Amino acid sequence: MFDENTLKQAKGVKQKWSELLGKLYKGREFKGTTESGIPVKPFYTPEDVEDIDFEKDIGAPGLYPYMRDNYPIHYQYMPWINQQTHGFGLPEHTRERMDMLAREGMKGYFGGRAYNIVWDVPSHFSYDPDAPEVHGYVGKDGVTCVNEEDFERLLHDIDLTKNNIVLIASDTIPVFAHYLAYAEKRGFPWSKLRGNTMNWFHVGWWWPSCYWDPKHAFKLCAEVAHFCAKEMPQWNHSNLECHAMHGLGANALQELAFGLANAIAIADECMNAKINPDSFMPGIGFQIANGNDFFEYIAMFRAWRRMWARIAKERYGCKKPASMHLRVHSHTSCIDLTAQQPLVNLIRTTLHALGAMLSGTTAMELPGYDEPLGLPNEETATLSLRIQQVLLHETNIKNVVDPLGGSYYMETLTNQMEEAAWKIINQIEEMGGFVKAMETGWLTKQCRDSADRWRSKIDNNERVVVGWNKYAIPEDKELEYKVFNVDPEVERIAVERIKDYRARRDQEKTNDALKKLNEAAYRVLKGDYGHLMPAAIEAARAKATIGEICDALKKPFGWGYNVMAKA
Amino acid sequence: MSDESRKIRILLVKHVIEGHDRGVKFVLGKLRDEGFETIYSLYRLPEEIVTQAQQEDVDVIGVTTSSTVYQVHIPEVVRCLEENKMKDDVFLLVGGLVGGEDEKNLLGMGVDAVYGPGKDLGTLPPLIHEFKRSKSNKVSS
Repeated sequence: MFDENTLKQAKGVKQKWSELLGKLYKGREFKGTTESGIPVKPFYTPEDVEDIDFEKDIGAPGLYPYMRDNYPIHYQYMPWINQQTHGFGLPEHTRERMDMLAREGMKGYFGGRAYNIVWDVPSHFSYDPDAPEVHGYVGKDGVTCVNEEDFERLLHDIDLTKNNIVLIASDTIPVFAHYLAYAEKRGFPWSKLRGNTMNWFHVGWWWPSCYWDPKHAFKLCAEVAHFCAKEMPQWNHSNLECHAMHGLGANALQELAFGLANAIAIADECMNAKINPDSFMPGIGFQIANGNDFFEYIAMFRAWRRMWARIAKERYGCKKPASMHLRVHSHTSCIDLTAQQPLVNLIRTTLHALGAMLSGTTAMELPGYDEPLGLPNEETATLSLRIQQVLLHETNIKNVVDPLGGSYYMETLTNQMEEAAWKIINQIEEMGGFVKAMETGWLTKQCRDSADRWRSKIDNNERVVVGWNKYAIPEDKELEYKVFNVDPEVERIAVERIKDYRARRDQEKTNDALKKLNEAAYRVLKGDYGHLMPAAIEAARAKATIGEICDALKKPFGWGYNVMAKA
Repeated sequence: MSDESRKIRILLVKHVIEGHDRGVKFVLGKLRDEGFETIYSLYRLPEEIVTQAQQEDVDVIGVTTSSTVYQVHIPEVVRCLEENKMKDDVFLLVGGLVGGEDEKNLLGMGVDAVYGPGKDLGTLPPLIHEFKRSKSNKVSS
């Protein structure tokens, strides 16, 4: 990348630096490693990047391989989306929070907003609110919104074509089917809807909670992608939940490699379903954590963009830039936050968000500083938004795209991350692919081992966590924080509503729709895509509940409680 | 029936739809390393925890949750333990995201120990041993 003269100078300068080092520090060695174990030097020169081909490996923002950014100009033209998560209680409660965040300046692209709505755990796994086993969980960690009537309570007066509606529900199909039935009723054509589904059918296996058989889970993902490619070109069908891998223990390198291997598994299944890669690839997005190791996460991000572009072009033969762009919503680390001295988390999250901004993220979701204590309240949710607003408006960071690009250190670390990640991805392919890595428990074990190393280092005081194992406040002085609580009446009301909803329907019509859904499910297993999603929407129109829609899929695709959870 | 040589048996449980198990798996490993006999299981209804505890004849029950669902489930566990006359003989532990005043509330309703995020696990084994000792003293006196 440099001419001979510059490299000669670099050698000379490095020599002088070494001599100074020896003189001042008497032979002491200075070295460090990243969180993922990549060795770093205390100082970098052009020599470290001499083998880099500037055009091929670094290039410009907006040009393949997009390492520097998807777009030639980013935040000056289009700031990242404020994608703050919200969801608790009844739809009405969540709507209040949505309106509050909108008032406080939560913004998306071009005048729209992204409502990043998280469903309660029962809905994640398609339990109706009155299922006995979910007692206690209804509306607790997310909103209970299970049919078109609930959607009206949640989204009335909101334009579903100008705003992004993000449906954070793990078993995507039942909630999505009800959403589409609702949108249709309001007169919004599906082709114009904007937003995101999760497509997390495979996630319950390693998360670990209720699971779909790993052999079939990706077929469900592909069915959703198939439907979206045909009917909803503006919709992002899949969100790769890499933040959850981080939460489980994965370091930055593992997050990168596992996240891409996971995306490859979805894309491979989409190819099996004979969807045009330029139709399904733009609908794949990633939810990535930015954690404590500041530069490593930025290098991870840059490597991620370059690797994804290469995968799209070389593995799937994509032609459209949109297929090669890495869509990321940075869900900054929760696991790095502490319950002790929770206000300190504001500082941590600001650093994580700064890292995400320097990485060129396309959306940000920041936890509240009370994340280790419970759901965010109005104040903590607003502060998370304020962090984003300060970074955007007060720092001038937005003026330059990929401001760390060209740093000898950053380019070296980005290459090291990429190289190491390919090794892991190849290792996964050799063991039979991502499905095998999941099924055998290898993936979970890798994350768990990292988690154990992390915790042991803290317990042995090899790693400092401010306010926890160092600078702790004695217990008797610890401040009391009020944990956010959901109205205890929520469950009773949600149960009443669902019972009433069932009582008002034409049962014969519901049964018929569910029977057809079950038949469409078996067609997917035979490789016949494109019938299941329409049948699920028909079932939603016939007022089948999310629990019933899910039940129609359980037998064909294999469903259960995670056996590995017992390991 | 108390056999001095018998290892202390601990049942740790997570709800079937609960997605987070990083903490409880760590606790599980620590307790195993400390020489306790540990059983890890899933539950659907709070009363199933007590049934499993009876079947496994455990000395300690640990329930983990990453949400405030403990506000609903733990009182039901306590009630079931009382109904089965097990409350005094079983050490009830709650772990996970328990913050603020909820810790006091749980201890007030009969929970023996609460281990929220970041709490030093080294203090747990002595608590359990102390509980067992006080029980066996009670039996012999």
